[in-house]
Amino acid sequence: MSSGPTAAAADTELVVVFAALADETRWSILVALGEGDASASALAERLPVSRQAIAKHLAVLQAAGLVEPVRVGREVRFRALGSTLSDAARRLDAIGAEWDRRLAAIKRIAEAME
Amino acid sequence: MSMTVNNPSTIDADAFAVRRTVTIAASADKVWAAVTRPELITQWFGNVAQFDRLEVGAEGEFGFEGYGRFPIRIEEVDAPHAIAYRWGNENATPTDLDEHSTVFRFTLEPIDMPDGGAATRLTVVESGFDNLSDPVKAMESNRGGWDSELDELVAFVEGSA
Repeated sequence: MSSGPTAAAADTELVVVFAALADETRWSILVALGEGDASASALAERLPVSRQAIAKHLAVLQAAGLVEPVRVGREVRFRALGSTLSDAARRLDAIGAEWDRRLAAIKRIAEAME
Repeated sequence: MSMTVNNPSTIDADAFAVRRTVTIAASADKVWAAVTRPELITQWFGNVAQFDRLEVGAEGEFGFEGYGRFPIRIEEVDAPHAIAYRWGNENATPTDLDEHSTVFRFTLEPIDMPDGGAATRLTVVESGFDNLSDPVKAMESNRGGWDSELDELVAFVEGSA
């Protein structure tokens, strides 16, 4: 998209990802999973949040495509999915690139003004 | 492996904002005109720009060839220092603009050129991509950018793969 509206680029998926990330606890969970896969119980031991609350937050993260469950024996562990985060970061980069182009145009307009 | 809870696990209100700055060899008044006059806005942004007046609360539309028109609302006017536009995404209507929109805010800062000429540092911040935090408040808390924290998290998560 060369000159399309950035807000349109902020489509549902991006909103879902950022809404999922815009929470201290979920951010902490994702950072913790960045160190390695973990079950909800293991996360509850490491974070100052109940196991039930962890499970709810994991559901939000899973819906946003930021984590996936992995069955290990009788345990369900969660794994952070870097690709969703990278996609979101790339979209923000693309929106930033559009602003670079717009600012360059504003610069030309203002500098040409009498 | 254990971790401390206080690790890089905090996120501030403008974690998901895009910030860009450019230096323009023109006075702040000229730059102000370029970012607030509809006939100039269409030279850098879409092909339709209309709002009835340059005041907080003024409503209008920005349009893009091939994408349609999107409702906008002016959220801040402080000539010639700052202007903020809220603009809707493809789902927005004028009545639910708050839920389906981002805000972009320009700030203009006069600077001195070595040759004594007038110049302006123009910064734009587009925020509200999470649609939860108050973008204007987020922009006022002018800290960092999304990139350090999100990049940190990306590195963290990818390092685990």
